[in-house]
Amino acid sequence: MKFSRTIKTESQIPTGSMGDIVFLLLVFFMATTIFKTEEGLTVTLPRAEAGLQVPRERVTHVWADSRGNITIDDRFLTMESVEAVLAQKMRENPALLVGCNLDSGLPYSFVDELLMQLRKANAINVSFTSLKESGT
Amino acid sequence: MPLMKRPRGTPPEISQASTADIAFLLLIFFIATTEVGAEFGLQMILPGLGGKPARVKRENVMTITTDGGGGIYIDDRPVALREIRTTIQGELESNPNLIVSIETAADARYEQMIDVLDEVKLAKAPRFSIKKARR
Repeated sequence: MKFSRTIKTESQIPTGSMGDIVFLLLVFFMATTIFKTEEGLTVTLPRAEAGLQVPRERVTHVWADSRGNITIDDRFLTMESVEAVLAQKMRENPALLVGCNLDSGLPYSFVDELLMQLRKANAINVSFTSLKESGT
Repeated sequence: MPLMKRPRGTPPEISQASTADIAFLLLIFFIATTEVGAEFGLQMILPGLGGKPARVKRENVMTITTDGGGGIYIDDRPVALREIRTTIQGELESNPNLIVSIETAADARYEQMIDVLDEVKLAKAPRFSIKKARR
């Protein structure tokens, strides 16, 4: 029996599965994307080494800039109304974590008043948002 | 142009060649809109207002005071920010029940409180509290 030898030097990288790979990446990014829902205020955050990653799904942000403006969900609030807004949010999600994005130049008396509002609303899980500082 | 004749027997097909292109466009959109930078923060649990304040022994409490001028004092002894960590760690070894009380002057900057809180966290102090300094 005689075999006819076919000499073919074509080599190809199969691209058929490219679409599948792209789809997997697509699904990954779709699942992990959280759209930015609030603008917040312009604050200079303090730096801290011990900062831990904040679980995004249960955090509500309270913003306070250097002039003492306070916002939650982009609504400007007075110090006294923070309690009511947070109390409402606590009823919706008792495991709420309050992310305090406070300007580093604020006087501590302001921070103390704000924390008192949080305590009145029973929002006792807080996170002082900070920028990651590399260890020294 | 003459009509192209489909060979008999083959079913009609929708071209799937552009599926990957569409997926690519969607992929680029989601890559661009994803927030990569994670958020970091110093987390703590505030005391609720309902309960009675816990009674603690005076010798278990270490008070770190920050005044408006940026001075830091541990039990009224002036210290540098860098010393806080080692001081707490040393104290924790001899007294595991240590409670660190961070007291900050009303006119001190928020940043100063965070600096101290950061050091206390890095020293792995299991129990600490923050409050506004009297005086």
